[in-house]
Amino acid sequence: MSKVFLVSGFLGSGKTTFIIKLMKYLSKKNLKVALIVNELGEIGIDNQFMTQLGYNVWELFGGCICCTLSSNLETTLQELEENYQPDIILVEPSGAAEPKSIYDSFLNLDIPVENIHNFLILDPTRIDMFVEILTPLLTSSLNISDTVLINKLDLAEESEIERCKSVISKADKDLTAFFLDFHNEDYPEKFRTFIDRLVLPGGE
Amino acid sequence: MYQSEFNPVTIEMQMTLSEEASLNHWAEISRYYFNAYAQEITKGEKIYIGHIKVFATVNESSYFKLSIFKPTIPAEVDIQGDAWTSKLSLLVNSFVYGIDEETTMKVLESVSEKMEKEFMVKTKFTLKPVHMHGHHHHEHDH
Repeated sequence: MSKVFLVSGFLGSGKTTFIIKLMKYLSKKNLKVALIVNELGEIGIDNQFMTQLGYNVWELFGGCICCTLSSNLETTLQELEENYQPDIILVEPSGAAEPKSIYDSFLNLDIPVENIHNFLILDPTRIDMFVEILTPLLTSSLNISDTVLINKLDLAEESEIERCKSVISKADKDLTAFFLDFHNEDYPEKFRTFIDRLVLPGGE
Repeated sequence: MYQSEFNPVTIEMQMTLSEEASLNHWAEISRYYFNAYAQEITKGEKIYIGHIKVFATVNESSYFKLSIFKPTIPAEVDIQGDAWTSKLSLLVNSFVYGIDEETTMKVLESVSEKMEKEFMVKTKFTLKPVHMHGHHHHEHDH
């Protein structure tokens, strides 16, 4: 059965950049990867960009997979599992989606909890805005995540990174946090080892 | 979900120069254009950028994606290919908290006027209101 990685994060956090890099990395490991993208807006941009880069993208369009398109997400996941049998299914929801609802869709399909991994991409340059106007989304996202990736380190102030750490420490659960620059060619060894453990047979 | 707060505004845009220019040059013009747009649209209280995403294509192998998430941080551009063209097609998804379609269009008009003066680039853009396929499209020329 496929492993399912949910990559959540607010609009503009860097989800697409992270996914493109992760897909390259997983392809080098000869893993079969499928990507489901849900984007708001009249026409999808990330879908077009990723398709141009040569990736197989299943786009869910015309609503949000956390609410209006949740049944489409479940159907797409089932079809992928039956017809394509990927090692890993990456799910990139819109940055305005409520990730808890998407996680519930995975559970509705009886995907084993150990096969689901939830990454939250956190943009430190806008941590003040998240806390000011998006606290419910931030809290909910942290509560369903198991790994938090803090990126844009080159653009963030030290105080913003410290505030991210503080926000993460207040979550109701223990979270694994990585500080990454998505534009670096290679992953740091610690993160590479972490991903390998998740994706390679016998890695967990 | 939080779509109601960060209402997506989708715009189809065409930029035209009198002569062909490289994709890199177009990326620079677009970077300047959307940096100006981001700064202009966030003038006011309680206005936040969710994401301004632009996808520009010349052909299948020459295109770029531009991204802005904060007005004080310049646009990031990922360029693929090196085609030359005098006319560039762009697709814009603008998610800005506290801004409606009408304001978006006014700001685009204002930025387009400045761009025509400074870079001699002509801009034509069409608003595509979400969930209103084929209806009520606004066209603007500069």
